[in-house]
Amino acid sequence: MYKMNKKGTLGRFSHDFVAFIAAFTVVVFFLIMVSVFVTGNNKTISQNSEFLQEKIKEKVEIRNLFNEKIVIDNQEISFLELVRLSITNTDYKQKFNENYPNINIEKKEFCSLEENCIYLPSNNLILIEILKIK
Amino acid sequence: MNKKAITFGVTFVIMTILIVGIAIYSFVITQKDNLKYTISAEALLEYEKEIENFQIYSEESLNLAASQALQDLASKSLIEDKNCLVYNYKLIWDENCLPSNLKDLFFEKISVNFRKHIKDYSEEYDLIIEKQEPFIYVNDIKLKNQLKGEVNYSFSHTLYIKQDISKYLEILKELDEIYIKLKNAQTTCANSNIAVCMKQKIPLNHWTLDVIEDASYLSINLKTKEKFFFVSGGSLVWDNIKIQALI
Repeated sequence: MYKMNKKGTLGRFSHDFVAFIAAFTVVVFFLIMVSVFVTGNNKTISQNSEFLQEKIKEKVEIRNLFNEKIVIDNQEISFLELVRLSITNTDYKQKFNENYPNINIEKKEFCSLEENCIYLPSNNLILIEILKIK
Repeated sequence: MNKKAITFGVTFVIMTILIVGIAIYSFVITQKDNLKYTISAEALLEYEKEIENFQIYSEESLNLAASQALQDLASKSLIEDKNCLVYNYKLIWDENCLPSNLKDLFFEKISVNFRKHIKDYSEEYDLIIEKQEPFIYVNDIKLKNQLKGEVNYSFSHTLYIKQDISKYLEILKELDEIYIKLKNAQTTCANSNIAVCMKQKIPLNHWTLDVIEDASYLSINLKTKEKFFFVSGGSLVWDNIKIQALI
């Protein structure tokens, strides 16, 4: 039995109840923090792994292209030579698109890690992004 | 309010603040670690990408250096460091001014051109170029680069390239003793259509030969059948390599 005391303050019932609610809140909060931390951690590791796998796969696909030979103007040239031609000449750009419709190439000033970029020698360095469109 | 309730309440609040504080602190610390791992993975990828890009760049540079070397020789009518006579902006080949040591000149030019390309990529580099026909070897290309991202690290890598340049050597071989061949053909073809006759007398697989009479001289125009990449007039072109001279 819980009763009001003489001073009108809450008695034993209210103390236990407040203590219970407070303890419950703290435990729930703590559990939420732990779950957020664990989920966040796993998500980051999983995202990293997927990102690495995806990048390596893309790299292998693009590297294989570099060994390909194409016949242009009755002459066999390499993929990178055609890349070099297509960035300076619109006619060859068209030929590149005909030969590689799912590949986009673009001359760039700067490349991020996510982009597949290579440097080509010329009288100046040329930075090219090679994007395989899926 | 009774004292017990107040003590309990105060203690509870302090404990709650402590627990929440510790939880937030550990969360922040672990997130920082995660960020470090993410950055490390990115740095590793960046490093691998730099090595691969440099390998591709070096191989392409060697190809371009070879075709540019051929163009450099052709643009000077195959003559290097000799005082030759000139007529109508064309160099005159004679007994004192004739193409020689083409292979050595070619290798020298490849070396110069290749170093120029590597210097474009990195200010700090070191390499050794050797020839062992029909290959050219570039050993110990050491490249140093400071990559700066969220993680700073020094990039240092050593490469080795082997390139088959037999195609260029075959093209050059056809120009061996070209002056003597032309002079002999000129003598043999004296009483016939000289342009047609000289073409017949000098069979070439990699070059086309055109002979035109120019005053008292014969204008020799040689052009590669294949197209090559080379820098001309400051820009990169893909065209046939041409040699002009008078005999």
